[in-house]
Amino acid sequence: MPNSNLNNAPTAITTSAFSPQSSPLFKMNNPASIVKQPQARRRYSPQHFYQNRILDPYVHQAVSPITLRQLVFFGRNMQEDKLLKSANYVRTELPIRLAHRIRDFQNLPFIVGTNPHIELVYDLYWQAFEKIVKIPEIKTLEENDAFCEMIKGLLNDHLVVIPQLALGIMECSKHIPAAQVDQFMSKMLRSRISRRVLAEQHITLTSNFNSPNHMMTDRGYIGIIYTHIKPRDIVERTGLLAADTCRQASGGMAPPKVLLDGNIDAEFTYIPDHIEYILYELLKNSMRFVMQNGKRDPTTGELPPIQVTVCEGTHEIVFRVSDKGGGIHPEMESQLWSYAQSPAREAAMLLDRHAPSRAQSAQKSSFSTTASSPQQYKNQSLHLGIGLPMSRVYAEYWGGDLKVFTMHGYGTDAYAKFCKFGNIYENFDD
Amino acid sequence: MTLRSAGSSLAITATKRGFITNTEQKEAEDVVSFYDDRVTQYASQEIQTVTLKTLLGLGRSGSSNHDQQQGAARDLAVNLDVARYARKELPVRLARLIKATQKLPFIVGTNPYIKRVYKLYYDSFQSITASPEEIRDKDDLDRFAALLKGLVESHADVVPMLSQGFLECKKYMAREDIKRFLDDMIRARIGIRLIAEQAISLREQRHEHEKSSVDTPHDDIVGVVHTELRPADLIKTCASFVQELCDVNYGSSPEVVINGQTDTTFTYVPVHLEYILCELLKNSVRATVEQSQKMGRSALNPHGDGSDRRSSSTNRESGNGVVIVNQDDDQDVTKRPNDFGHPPVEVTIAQGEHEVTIRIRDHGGGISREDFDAIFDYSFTTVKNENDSSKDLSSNDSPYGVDSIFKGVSRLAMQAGLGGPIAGLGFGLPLTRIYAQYFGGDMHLISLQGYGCDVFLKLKQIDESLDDLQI
Repeated sequence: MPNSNLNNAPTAITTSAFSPQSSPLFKMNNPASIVKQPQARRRYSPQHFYQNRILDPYVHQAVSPITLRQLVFFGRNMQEDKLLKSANYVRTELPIRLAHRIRDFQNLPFIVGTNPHIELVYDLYWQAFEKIVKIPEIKTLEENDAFCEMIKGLLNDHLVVIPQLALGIMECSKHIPAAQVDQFMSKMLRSRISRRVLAEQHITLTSNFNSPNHMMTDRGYIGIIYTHIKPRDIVERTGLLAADTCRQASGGMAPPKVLLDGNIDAEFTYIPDHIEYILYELLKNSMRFVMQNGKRDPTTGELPPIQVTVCEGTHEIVFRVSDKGGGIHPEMESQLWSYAQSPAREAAMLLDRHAPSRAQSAQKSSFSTTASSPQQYKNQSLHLGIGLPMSRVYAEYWGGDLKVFTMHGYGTDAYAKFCKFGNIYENFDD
Repeated sequence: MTLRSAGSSLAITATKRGFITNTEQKEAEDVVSFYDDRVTQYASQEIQTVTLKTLLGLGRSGSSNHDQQQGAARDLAVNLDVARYARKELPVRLARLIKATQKLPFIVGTNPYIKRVYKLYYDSFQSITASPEEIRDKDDLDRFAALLKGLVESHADVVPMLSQGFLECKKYMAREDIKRFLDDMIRARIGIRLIAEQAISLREQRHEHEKSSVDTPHDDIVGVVHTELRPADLIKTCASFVQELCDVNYGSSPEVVINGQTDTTFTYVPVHLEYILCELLKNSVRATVEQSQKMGRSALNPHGDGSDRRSSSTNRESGNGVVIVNQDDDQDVTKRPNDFGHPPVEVTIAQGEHEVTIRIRDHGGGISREDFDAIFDYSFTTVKNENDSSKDLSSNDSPYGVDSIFKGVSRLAMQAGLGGPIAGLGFGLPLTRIYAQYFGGDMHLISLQGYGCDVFLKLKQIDESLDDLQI
């Protein structure tokens, strides 16, 4: 039985309650086309200032972080009472985590807060907070279903947060020092991941419980977690995706191949979406560098392949992605993990012949609701330039990490490490 | 007094170790008097840093082919400059080092190894300050260079001595304090040696030039700097040295595969790079062999016992067109096990604009989590020290097994040879990193637990961009 299951390529996509395009991979490429217009001038009204009081009790409450293992044990053998328990945990935990970040927004310099992109995100968060806080204790499955629908809606609305935040923060980087920018963004993203994990896990548990799919749990699918992740499958999947992206972005040039070796059949428990996001980012970067570098094997005419090695230790599993793309230019190297805009980054982005002009992409990304082609957004996400720092936030979420070392003139090695035992608590500042 | 009793116990331990002879024992007892003021005098002077440019005589045009006279005169001028600088500066730096040592806790200062090092530095200080202050001509130069040479030679074992000394003093000083002291001391020592060696070798080169009737252009070597250093060659040399050492200790060794931009040349100090390479290769080679033992890898069984996690079918190519799974190690020269079943150590060279990167990859099983935090500590080692009473050396395996009659022999073999023993004194990694960082480079180590280690060594080209670097 397990074997046949594998042939159906168990992607996290099919286990979640969402449509196929709901994994983080696709989310960034296709943000919601309808952007909620913020209530004009609301933020600056005195009403808002005084209303802010409702935030206080939540800001002062501590969060309750969880481990992967706890989620797994909880999610097995789902029952009605457990499901309701999960619902109420999410219901009470989300506002606390949201409140802490809203307060961070409120602490930004005023001028930054007036940036339209930042304002948009702030409003989204505030509205979400108000909505969830109003919900009373969930006591029945019907109430849970309604709750899930609402949360689903919020998750969808918030798909724009990352591009908006990234653009806003880049535009504001002359008002705040780079270090502060990075700290703010890291905090935001870490917390965002944590809230989405909670929400998506519960929603998926609910839908699995409601539908015949709750048999999936036996096969290792527990909400958005999968207990039999095989490195081989993930690399094959993300490799294909990355190759597609690069082929399209380059106007048809064939991307380099990916060679896979090491412990490719080692099984471990994790959220496949997270690993896919990171590997997709790394493979896409490697392919891009190799293609831009252009050096080919003199005999075969092929681009040098990317080498992915899977290393399994007692406590951890590491994916090493190694390319011969010429290495990262020293100026870009210093900005590798930064969210802030800098001349170096701008220059690097301009160097990229596949990048749309910044002015063009910036315009399209702001409030305009005119449907832009998916292509535009795809290119945009390629060049928001925060794929790496975001990947690191994902990697560090449950005690792993992401390291990148470059050999100027030769190539780059990236190491994505994940803990195997799932006994590490969520890593997000509070 | 305490010195006497320290002396007698020193005699006992000395014969045991065979490290310190009886005559040296007497010297060690004559520790500097409390009342010698000159050290303090000199130590309070400002360190005059010299720019790399001046020290290495860079900027002098390379070709003295057509005008040997002018070239020789210029050489002498540079030589004198460096020697004069050395004469002035070395006492100051030595004094500071001595002073730092004087601040160590008293009990630490009575350790015979530490005392010996202290004595060495103090004597060097005496010798240099006693030599004439003015260096006017070639003869003065020759005399001074000879003096320096003798001193440098006598200091050859300072690091092993310090390491042993502090290993024994672990319980008397906090880990961070030891680390800080040793970091500073070693950095100071590198600077002192650089200045001294430069003065010595400039003089020797000039001497060679003058002696030889044929004008042999040695423009690629300026004192201790080699302007056309080819890392691939140095790696080959270090690799064979390390492999030999490994053969002696373990009976076999892995191959070292060199790839990447192997024709790379750059300007650097060869002895530094040699030390770094030897240390890193030693670690990789030793880890590989020990991992082979652990995993049962051998000539007859190249992939080891069941603990090896590969999928059962080798030579299996599959995938989806983009991603290709290739488990066949024999095709890949960077993974093919040699006749002894050891997978190779892979060294990759890359030439950047201002720097050279050398990556060393091994299949030695990586470093465990518990050990990883401590690997840059001085005196951390996974080789069991028979004299070490403390139990907190974390070591899961000893390469020697139970007491064997060969233990003593192999230990000696380990300690013999250039560059020190193959393992066991616990200062290889921290020292390597200090060397790597000395000219603005760096060293990073990634452990892939259960698989192997990757080391990235970044070395800045010693060129005009480093002109203002202060030594």
